[in-house]
Amino acid sequence: MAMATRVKQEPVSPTSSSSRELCSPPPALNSSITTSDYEQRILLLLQGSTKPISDKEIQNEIPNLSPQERAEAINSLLKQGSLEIFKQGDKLVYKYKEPSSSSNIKGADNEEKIVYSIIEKAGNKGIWIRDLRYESNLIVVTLQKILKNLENKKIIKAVKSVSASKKKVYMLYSLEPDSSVTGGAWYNDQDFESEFVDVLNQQCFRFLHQKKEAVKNCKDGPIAAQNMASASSKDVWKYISELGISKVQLSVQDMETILNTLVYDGKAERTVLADGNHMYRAIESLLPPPGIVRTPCGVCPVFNQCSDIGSINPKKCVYMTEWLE
Amino acid sequence: MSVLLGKVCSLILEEHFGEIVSKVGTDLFQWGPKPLALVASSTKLSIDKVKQSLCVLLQYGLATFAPGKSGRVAEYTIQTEKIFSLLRYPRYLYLIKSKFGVEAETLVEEFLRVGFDSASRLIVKAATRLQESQKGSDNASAYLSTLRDKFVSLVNKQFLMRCPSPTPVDEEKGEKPTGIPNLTVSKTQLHLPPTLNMKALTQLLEGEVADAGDEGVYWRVNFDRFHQDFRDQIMVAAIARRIDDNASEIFQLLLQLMYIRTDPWVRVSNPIPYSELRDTLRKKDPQSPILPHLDQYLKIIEEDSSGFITRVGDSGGGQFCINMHKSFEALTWTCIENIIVERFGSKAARIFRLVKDRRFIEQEKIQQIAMIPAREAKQLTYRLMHENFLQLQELRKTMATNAGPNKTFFLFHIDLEEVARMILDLSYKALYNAMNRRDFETNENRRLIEKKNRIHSIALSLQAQGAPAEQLQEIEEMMAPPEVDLFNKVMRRVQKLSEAELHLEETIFLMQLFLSYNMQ
Amino acid sequence: MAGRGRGRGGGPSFNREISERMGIAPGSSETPVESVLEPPPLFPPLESRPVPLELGVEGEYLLALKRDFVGYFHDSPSFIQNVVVKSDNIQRYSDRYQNATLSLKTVADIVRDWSHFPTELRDNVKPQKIKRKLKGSTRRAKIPKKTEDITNRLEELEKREEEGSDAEGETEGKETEGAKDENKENKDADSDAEEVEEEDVDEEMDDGTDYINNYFDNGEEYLDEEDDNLEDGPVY
Repeated sequence: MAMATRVKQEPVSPTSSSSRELCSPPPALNSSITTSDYEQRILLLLQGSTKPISDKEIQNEIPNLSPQERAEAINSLLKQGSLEIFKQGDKLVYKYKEPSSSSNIKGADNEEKIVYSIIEKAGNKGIWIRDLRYESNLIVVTLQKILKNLENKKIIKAVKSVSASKKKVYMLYSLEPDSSVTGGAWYNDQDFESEFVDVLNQQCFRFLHQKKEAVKNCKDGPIAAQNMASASSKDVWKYISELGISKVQLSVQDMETILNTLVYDGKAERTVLADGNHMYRAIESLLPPPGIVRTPCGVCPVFNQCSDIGSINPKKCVYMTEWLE
Repeated sequence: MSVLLGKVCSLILEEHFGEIVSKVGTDLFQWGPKPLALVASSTKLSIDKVKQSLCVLLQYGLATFAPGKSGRVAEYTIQTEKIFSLLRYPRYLYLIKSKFGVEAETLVEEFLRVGFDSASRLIVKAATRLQESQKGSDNASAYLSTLRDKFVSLVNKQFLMRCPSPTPVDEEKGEKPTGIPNLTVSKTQLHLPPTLNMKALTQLLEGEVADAGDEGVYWRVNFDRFHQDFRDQIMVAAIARRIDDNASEIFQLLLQLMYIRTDPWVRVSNPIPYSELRDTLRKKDPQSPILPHLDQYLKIIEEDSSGFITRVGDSGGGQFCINMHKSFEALTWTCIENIIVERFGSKAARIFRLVKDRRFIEQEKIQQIAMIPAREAKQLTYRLMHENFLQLQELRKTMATNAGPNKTFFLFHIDLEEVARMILDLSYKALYNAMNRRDFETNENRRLIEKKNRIHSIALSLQAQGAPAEQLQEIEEMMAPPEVDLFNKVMRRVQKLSEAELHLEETIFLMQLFLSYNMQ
Repeated sequence: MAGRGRGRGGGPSFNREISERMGIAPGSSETPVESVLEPPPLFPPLESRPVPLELGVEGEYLLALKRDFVGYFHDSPSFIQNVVVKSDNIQRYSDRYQNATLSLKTVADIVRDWSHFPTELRDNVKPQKIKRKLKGSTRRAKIPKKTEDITNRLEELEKREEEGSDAEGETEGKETEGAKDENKENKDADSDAEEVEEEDVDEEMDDGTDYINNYFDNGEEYLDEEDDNLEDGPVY
């Protein structure tokens, strides 16, 4: 498994001829070649290979490069975000990396980098802390520290999700949370605006119902009548927007969500046209209220305890007495 | 069979035929088919009373008999459906009245009153009654031919059917009489009207002895035929509510055409061609405003979510099938949803319809799509489940067998048949309660009611004798005003309970019909 | 099904699990628990009212029809009950106004055609027993009179049946035979009386105390036989 670590200077055997140049690179030797040149060359080497490149391979490729210089170059590239370090066995290998917005992060931990990239990948839906832990494989303490750090730096932010009030998702600071997280138009700060939803529901129904009533004397045949009584989600959206009852700007999609609740109320029927439009019209129930709900038994809370024996029985039923008067 | 249905049937028997018949009926219901002696021993009634009760039950078709295992002793089986049908007698009569007129109604009423009897005898009886009630100048014989015609019509339309007759014991073949008649009727005989001697009928009416030509031939009411019409009425009314009256008229015609080519109780009819429908409509009413839009209406009925009809082919301008089973499935859903609306509120009904639409759905999704606050949604869902309107299915997320609540999906779904049965039981219980309470109210005030009845009959007889107004007034005053008030109150209560019973019977009919289609 | 959610949300642990999973804590307001220390009311206030009944003209007609039917069946021979009649010689005011059509109620009036019924139901079926308050002497004295009336009655009934029913034709033979048998029986007054007595004893035990029986007398019973009909006259 790859692990990010700081680049450390490795102990080099003292017998090596270049060992004398360990601590300080003799400037004269390298005067013609700048550090950035070396960086470039290392980068080129990395870019040219699909496999990660080891220290040894770099050394082979650029023999003039002292280990210390190498280390510095690599550190610099790392800071730029142009390469990634992995550990293979007991040696380090390097891989080229696209320098993306990770240039934002200066002086950040590599661990942080990993956490950051995971959060970045989650986009505007954010990622839950548990999933974050699973993907990054960090222990809780470390992760929490990193998250706090990133939050303080205003690189990421935590957003409460409407789907579970205890759940927090993390996403990049600059992003607008997706509506699945905020609840969209229906939530005001985590509170579900049920009265608002109910009012919209009623208004939509009124609109559809009025349309249906208006068609009653239509002489052009039933299909024409039905078409006139139908409204597309856009029509309804227009009507509601013009009513101005919503503080928030609602989308057509939002309207459809409300209209669907009307369908589930058994008050409207939805048809999908060939062009993909959704049409809605008001409908009547197939049946009037059934017999059982016209008697007290149908709404009785203690119905299951009612029997011939016992204190709850039809002869003494209080609801019946009340209803019979 | 449902225990509650048994209880209701006991009450029905008691109301119509008294406690003793009810005891016998209940015994048969509880223990299944039994011979006479066993009924007597378990009900602890005298053998005579049991015999009388069985005679009543058999006469009205509320029980049947068959040889038991040994072949020599008759075992009696209670027919709960027929007992329940006693509640429907008023509806049967009303149907006949609307369809065939008052003479036919009187005739069918005679059949219902007597169980089964010969045509000649009942026609004569009906003629007498009509003459009394109409108080017209015609004597009763004027009604005879109308009644005879109506009778034939009722038999042809299958509202009346022939009773099975005992097969004679063939002593030549060595058969011995067992004392248990073997009753059979052939299919052709079932709805073959007899030829009646009109002259003999007139003689019978006069009180003379005569042979009308139908000796030993008995008829009874065919309840299933009435139920067919009730079923159709429900569907036609639903279409009228959902679409409009024109559509329901078309649907009625479709039903008519269905009977020509399909057995009335199948789940799906055979196809009916559009051309035939159009021609029938044209013949019925050439000026009908529906004609130019007939195909449109059919399209609308077909596309409605209730699914009453389906278009199955294009020949003849389109072929349409009526989906009996599907229609009653849709109607049952509607009935249940309407119950939920009244009992638990419209939000609960919304949840129910959502679960129905999605078949299997998780709690979270319910909250989201139904747009109900999480807490309220959970409450309502739990309540619906608790009352058995919703069922819960667990699906494990992992392979482990002991996954806890966090590792299992909890999916809600609806088993329509189970819910329908539950509603049916609820309705039986509510019906039982209403009947019980009505009985209670009547008994509590029995003396008062009897007093009022006596006064009423005295007043009537005095009136018939042409008594002066003062005398009538005196009679009325035999009951003090507070008593009159109380009497009226009691009557109102009894009335209300009876109305409730009527309504309940309708729901029960619907559920029974659906369940029978489901089990086909 | 578990009882309604009053009191603790106890029940199988499954329910607990479900409730917790669904975020309903037991003891919270979703599973209502009375915080007051008293038993929950037997009839808690209704959350919703029943929908009003709507029947209209059709409904009224149906109800009237039902009343007619039940009334008819009540008065018909099919309504079987343990009958009790006061047999002392006091004429009652109420007797005049009781339903005069309550005549002989017998099984034969119910059954249309005996050949459709198992024979066992036919044998020895006596008409509805009338319990009498016996006074031995009056009993004996009555019997000869009864026999006379019985014979008259029988003739009447036979006549009625002949004109009324064609179906009887088949069983007519048997019935007239039966009638003759019964006649013989009745002429044997003593044995008849004994029989009646024995059965009366049985029925007395069936019917409970005199007090109760008397109470139920006045509404629905047969007429006092002295004045009007003879219930004891067998029909076949």
